[in-house]
Amino acid sequence: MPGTFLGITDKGLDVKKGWFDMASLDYSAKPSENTVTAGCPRGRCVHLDTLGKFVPGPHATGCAIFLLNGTDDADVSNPGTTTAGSFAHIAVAPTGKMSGLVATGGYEIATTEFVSDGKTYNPGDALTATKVGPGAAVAATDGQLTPGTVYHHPIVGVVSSGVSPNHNGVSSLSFWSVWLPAGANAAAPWDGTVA
Amino acid sequence: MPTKQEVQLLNETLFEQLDSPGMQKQAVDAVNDFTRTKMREDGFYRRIMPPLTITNDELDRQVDTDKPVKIVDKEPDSPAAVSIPFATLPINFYIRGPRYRVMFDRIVSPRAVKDVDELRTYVIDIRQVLSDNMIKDMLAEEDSKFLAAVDSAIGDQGAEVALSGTVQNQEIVGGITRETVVDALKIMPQTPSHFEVETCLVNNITIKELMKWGRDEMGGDFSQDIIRNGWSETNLLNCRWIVTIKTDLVLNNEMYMFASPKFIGKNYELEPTTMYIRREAFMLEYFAYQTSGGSLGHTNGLAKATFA
Repeated sequence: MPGTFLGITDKGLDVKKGWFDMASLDYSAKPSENTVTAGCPRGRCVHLDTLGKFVPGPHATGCAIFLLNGTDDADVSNPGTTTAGSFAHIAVAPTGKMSGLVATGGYEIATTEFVSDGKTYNPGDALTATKVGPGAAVAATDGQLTPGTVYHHPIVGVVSSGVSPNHNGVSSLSFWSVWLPAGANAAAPWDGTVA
Repeated sequence: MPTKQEVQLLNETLFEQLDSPGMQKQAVDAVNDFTRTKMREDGFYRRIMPPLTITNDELDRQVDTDKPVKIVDKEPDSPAAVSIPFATLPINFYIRGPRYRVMFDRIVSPRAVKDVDELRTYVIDIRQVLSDNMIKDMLAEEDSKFLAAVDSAIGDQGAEVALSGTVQNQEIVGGITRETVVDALKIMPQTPSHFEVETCLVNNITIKELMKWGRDEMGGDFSQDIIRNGWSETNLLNCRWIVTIKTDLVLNNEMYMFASPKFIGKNYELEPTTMYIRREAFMLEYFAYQTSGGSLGHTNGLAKATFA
């Protein structure tokens, strides 16, 4: 739609250190139906659901993965029905598979997908990711990095140099990927939601 | 079939080439020639919709992605001609042609790694070992993607396809006889496009039902040839018959039918199947990859029959 398109540089995930070589720990899978409906751009944090499909946001025990492709990327999806419902084509390829870097790999990542309003990111701060609620529900904002509480939220990264414009001038958050499952604190268990 | 001595010579030659920095390209080229020949021969997607090589110059740049995209024009519909009395003018229509985008992704085989000293003890053709497993997996992925798109286009069995207003996925009762197969061939021409079937795709179990046809059904010496020699690729009922062993993709008693590729869509090959081979000290690694894209732009040239 003219005037509303997403530019090539608007969403991004730059891997400053640790990628690529043949030993890099990446993972590819299709997104869940709800993820496709809500849309999930590259740079977001996802996890695998029980069917092995990507769902944005963190999971109590499911390892975090940082997307190299978004649901609308040209090598992921080629919708063949217009917004008015007319048939254009049926894609043989691509098939909808996305790929991402697994948080347990050793990476320093700069992502455009973080909560900027009212949040501060200092080196050493723990990070989790937004999630509208437990289960299969997906919001369009899910999977953005945001400050987290160690041993309560699932921790997906630690801030390295913090927030700065990337080489395209888009504000990005630099962090090292780590993975620490949500805490089992009986007094304050994680409810599956990250605002 | 090469002899054991020839195979060992081939392996040694390949190792020598991989050993010498200047000769690595020759080793890779030799494997790639072999790989691409096999790819052309073995996949049914490639035989139904032969890949069109596309170059960088032919790609269409987009503002919302830097990934490769090709835009394809579709033939527009036009209003029907009408009979009118004298002194009446024709209606106007403004010319607009629909288009669709073909996008690309990569198919990659798993990366195999091996200590070369362990490979020295094999007496099979190492080039074949390198390529065959990779090719088998890549073709399975390619064929599976194609049939998934075809199944999506023709819908569920007995359901009307909105675009054509006809049922393009039908059950035909009565087994696999001359009558039922000809009935199956009627499915596609019933769409508004009236395409005729050019290619039939069945598995290697289903084709044996056709081989049971006698002289009265199949006709004269053809029946005799099949009884003597089995089925070989040939035309029957003015259709080319492709027989696949992929019974997990094309089930028993199923027959997919395709019109000429120009009436179906596009299958573009941006990077042909390439074997990456690298030897570092005593460790050998290799994998195959290709970049291709395809779309079905017209679904009236697709049909499926399931014989019950």
